[in-house]
Amino acid sequence: MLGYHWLGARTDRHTDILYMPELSEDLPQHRIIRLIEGLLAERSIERRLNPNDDLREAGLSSLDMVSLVLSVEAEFDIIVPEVSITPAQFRSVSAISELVGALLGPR
Amino acid sequence: MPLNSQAKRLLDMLAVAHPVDVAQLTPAKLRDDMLRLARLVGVRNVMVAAVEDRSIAAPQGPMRIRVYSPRLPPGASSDRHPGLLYFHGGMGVSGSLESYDGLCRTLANESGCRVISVDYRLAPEHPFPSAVDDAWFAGQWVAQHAEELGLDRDRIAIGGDSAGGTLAAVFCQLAREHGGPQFRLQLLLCPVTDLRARSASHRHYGSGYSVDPGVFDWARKLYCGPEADLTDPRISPLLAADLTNLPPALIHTAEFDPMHDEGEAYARALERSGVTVRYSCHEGMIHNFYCMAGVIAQGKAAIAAVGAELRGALAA
Repeated sequence: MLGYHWLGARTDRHTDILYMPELSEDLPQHRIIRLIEGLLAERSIERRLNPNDDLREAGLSSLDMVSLVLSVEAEFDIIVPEVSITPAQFRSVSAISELVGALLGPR
Repeated sequence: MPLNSQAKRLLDMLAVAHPVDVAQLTPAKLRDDMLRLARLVGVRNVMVAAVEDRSIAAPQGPMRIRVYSPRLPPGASSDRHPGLLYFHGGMGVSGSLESYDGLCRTLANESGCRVISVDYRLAPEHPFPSAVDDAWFAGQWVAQHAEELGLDRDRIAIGGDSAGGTLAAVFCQLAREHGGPQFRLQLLLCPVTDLRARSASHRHYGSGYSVDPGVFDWARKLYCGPEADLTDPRISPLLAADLTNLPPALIHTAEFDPMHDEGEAYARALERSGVTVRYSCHEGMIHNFYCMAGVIAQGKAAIAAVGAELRGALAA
């Protein structure tokens, strides 16, 4: 509950975390999928993503990748260290989820 | 100096995707990418005192310009501004008033100049020499309309970055040859001065440092068209036979930039020809760093320094 007092306002995001703990393990992956589907939609690419789809094959360009890294950082309030900004770590939703999970640490 | 860590981070992010497939590239895509880059990693939310879009009557049709009035400290007189006529980069194929909006706002505030950004025609719809013709017209128009623009005619600089730096440098050479308007100084940021692209910096940084070599060649072909000669000084101003009697120059290069050597060579050549030059190389920086200043702090500081330098050089 520390975050609740500290932030002073309850956002949807915190509501999720506070009141749906049973879903919390799935959340990062869903949030990442939403981010990527948003990027694809901006490029008029309509497709449903599976966790192991190769994002480069899905049509993400180099600028999309910049956008993806920056939005993952903003979404999870993390900084992706330089060593982790690699094609392998951003290859798929599941690879990114794993990275985000490791950076968030045990919650 | 090593490559700046924030620049490296950005290059790493760009390299997550497959390299650009030039066969799939279109001018529209490159233009869109330039705008997206500015919105993603450029400076944003910079407030200036005023922005005015205008259309001026160029011989080949209406030309858009955007005039930025800087924020001034309270009490400062604003009746006559120093000015900067600015040509954006983008390899002559991309770049726009919109994708350079953040940079122009920043330059206006940091220099105290009223900045006039020019929407010159782009290739392949309008290959060389259309951009040069437009720059030539815009420079004359601004000189003739200085008063209307609220500019102090004696304190106007002409400048640009990358391919826009070429246009600014070429304008100064043409003005000297044809008795055109003389501007107080030329500001060249990472300028392209030798489009033959044979320097050591092209070999070292031609790949993997923000300029894709395939895209560079592709854009160069579109800009030059089938006929143009790369040694034409209107394409490669470094190769002009005479570099004397040109306006004082503020020249900035980036260390990890394929265009580093030609920017430095232009500075040295002008100096040898008796032109006053202030040359700075931004260590650890990449080409186009000034458009990535939202995520590269050193880039942001560098634009501020360029602005301060311009302010000092244009002081009455």
